[in-house]
Amino acid sequence: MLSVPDLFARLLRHARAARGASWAALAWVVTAALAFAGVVAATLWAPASAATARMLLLGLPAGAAAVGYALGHRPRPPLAELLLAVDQRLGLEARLSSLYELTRRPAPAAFPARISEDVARRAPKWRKGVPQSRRSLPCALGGAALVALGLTLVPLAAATPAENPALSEVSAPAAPASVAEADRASQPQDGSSPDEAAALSPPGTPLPVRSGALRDILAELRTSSGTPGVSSASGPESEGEVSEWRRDLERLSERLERDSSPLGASETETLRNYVAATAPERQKAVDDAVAASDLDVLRQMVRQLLAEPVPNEIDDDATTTSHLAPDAPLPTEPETPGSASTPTAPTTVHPERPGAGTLGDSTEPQASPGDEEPPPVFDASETGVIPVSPPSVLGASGEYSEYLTLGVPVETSSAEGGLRDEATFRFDRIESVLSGRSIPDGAVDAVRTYFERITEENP
Amino acid sequence: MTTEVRLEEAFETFGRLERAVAQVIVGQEAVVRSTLIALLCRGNVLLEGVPGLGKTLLVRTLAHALGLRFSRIQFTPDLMPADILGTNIIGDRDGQRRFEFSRGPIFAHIVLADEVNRATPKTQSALLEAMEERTVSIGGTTYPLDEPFIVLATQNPIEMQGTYPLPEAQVDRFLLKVNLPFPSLDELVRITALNTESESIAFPSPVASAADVLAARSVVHRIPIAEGLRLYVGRLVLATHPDSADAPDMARNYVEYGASPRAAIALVRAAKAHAFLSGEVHVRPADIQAAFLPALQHRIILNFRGEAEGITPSGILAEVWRKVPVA
Repeated sequence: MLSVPDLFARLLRHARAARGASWAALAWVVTAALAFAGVVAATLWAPASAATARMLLLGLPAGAAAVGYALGHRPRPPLAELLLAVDQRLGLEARLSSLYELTRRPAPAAFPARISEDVARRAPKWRKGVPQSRRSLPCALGGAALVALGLTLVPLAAATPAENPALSEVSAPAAPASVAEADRASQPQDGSSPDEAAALSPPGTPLPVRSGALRDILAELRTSSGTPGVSSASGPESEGEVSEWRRDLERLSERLERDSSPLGASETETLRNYVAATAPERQKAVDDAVAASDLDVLRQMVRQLLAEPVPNEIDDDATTTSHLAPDAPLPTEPETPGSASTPTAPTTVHPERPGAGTLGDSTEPQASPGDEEPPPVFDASETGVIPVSPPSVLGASGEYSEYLTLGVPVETSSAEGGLRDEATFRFDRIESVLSGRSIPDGAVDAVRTYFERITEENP
Repeated sequence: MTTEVRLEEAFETFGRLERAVAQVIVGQEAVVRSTLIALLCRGNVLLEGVPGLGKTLLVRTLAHALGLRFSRIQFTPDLMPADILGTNIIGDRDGQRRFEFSRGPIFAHIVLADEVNRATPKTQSALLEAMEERTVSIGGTTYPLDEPFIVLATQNPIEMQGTYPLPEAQVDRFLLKVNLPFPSLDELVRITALNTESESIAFPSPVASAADVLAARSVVHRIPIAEGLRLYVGRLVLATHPDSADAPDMARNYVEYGASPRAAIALVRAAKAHAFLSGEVHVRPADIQAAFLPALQHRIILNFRGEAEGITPSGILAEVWRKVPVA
């Protein structure tokens, strides 16, 4: 049996929803058009506001549609007119509206019963009778198309390298200030992948760094960078062992200062253990000195080794670039007495000293043992140390700290004098230089992989 | 249950009535239905058509089928009101002479006023007063007419010489105006066969009574019409006015005065009766459409331009019907 009040309530509900949807569709398409125009304008004149435009493109039409639905849904439509419209759409010949009329005034019971029976028989699907605005669907589709088109425009604009500094660049000589900063700088924004950004980059544009892979490589370097006699393991046992060796070396130094008797077997073993992991040239020099029983040379070697920092005294921040002390060549000739107290300083790079160790700085004044840590001394032409002065602010990564890094040999073009922009690699030279630095075996591959990775698509 | 039975009985009665009239009147279904509508709505009908189309036969058949009194008045220029309404004459009753009212032919259930436009306006007015008031007042005494009462007046549209066309105000009192169309070939064949193969026309036996008509009127009166359809009727009527916003171009150009509020009432009443005769208990748009032309066409007054160009009210109304949507 047809429940007339329930039926009227349902029709009223559907009609309000339909009108709300109609208003929402209208508000949606109008605001989508406005937002689309805003996105186009932002793309053309304010690329930096692309993210804001994206939010605007999504938020404004959606909000307007919600408001439109609420406004359209709120007023109650005239039921008599609504029912007549439903009658017309369902072909009910004004039965519903007549039924409504009968509910408002006394009438013979036979009338509503007869009409209700006809209504239930003729129109089982009520929703089809609720008037729908013809513009709702076109408006909704049009608005959606505008939003989709606008969202397509926004990433395209954001991916343009000249307009989006978020994409980090890696030029050959410019190493990142730190791993974290390099990662942040290399992280593309707006969800675009590095490949996508690379594909959109114009020819010659430096490629973004695959930060994750490089981070792993640098971490490997960090853990494997060598200190004499120190294995790649960095646990408490290794540190204790190094300390013990260093104490033995100090005792040996004291003994050599007191008397001139040849080295004993244990003393020779101590010395060899300490230099075991250093460069072959240094080991060979020690062996030669031991074999020749040249105490002056041995004494100078021990002094120099003691002047070097023990592993736990080295700044962690510098480990990624400069555990160079053991690799520095040891003096093979006895020095003058005056220079005996000022042995050649180990080649250590101080990370906080911009400008130190630049090309041609190999004649730095040397400090005596016990003085402040001496400045690094190394052959710039051989090691390719490069002064780096990156911009103080790089894209969204924030400020960079200026620092020095021991690089690899590069070939520069003197035409423009722009070392940073003109440098190129030669891997055979890089390999030879790296092999001369006594890099631990496990780190050589990591270093090679690092440089191959950062230049793999930009040889 | 009682109401349900009455409703079904009313439907059945008027179904039988229509079938009985159709046995005698060949074709002219619209005219028959309009006559029944007027009967159910307590209205009167103005029939317009050339002579010989069966107007008198229709009225007589209807009277026979309903078992009601029937009278026919041939209007002529010298017809006086007393000839229609009746007059007081001196009578002799119980040895005393007094004026007694002698009822005229208006005192019947169904009155056929044949060629009503041939009588003088004074006589026409007398008839129209009876039509509207359902009473006859003579000599200070008012005499009610019996119910059901219906006047069917005829007009000859081609013979206008020596006629007194009904004033608009009086035409407006007719519920419906129906044009009698000329019968088709098949209908002509059937008409000739029906009227020549027997000595006299076999009128139907009464299938209903005056009480049945009054009961049906009660039902028709209570048939609901939706508010939206009432609004629709109002828009239709307003659209016949040349200064209305919804008026079609024809109405703007050729109409002097549009339909009156009485037209709207007539349309709704006629639509209700039409719905009843269709077996429905509510007014449909189709009922309004069926009653639209008969209820309004005699209430549209053309301007000079419309008359000069031969525009008919039915053409204007057709344009109005197309212009105004139901919802």
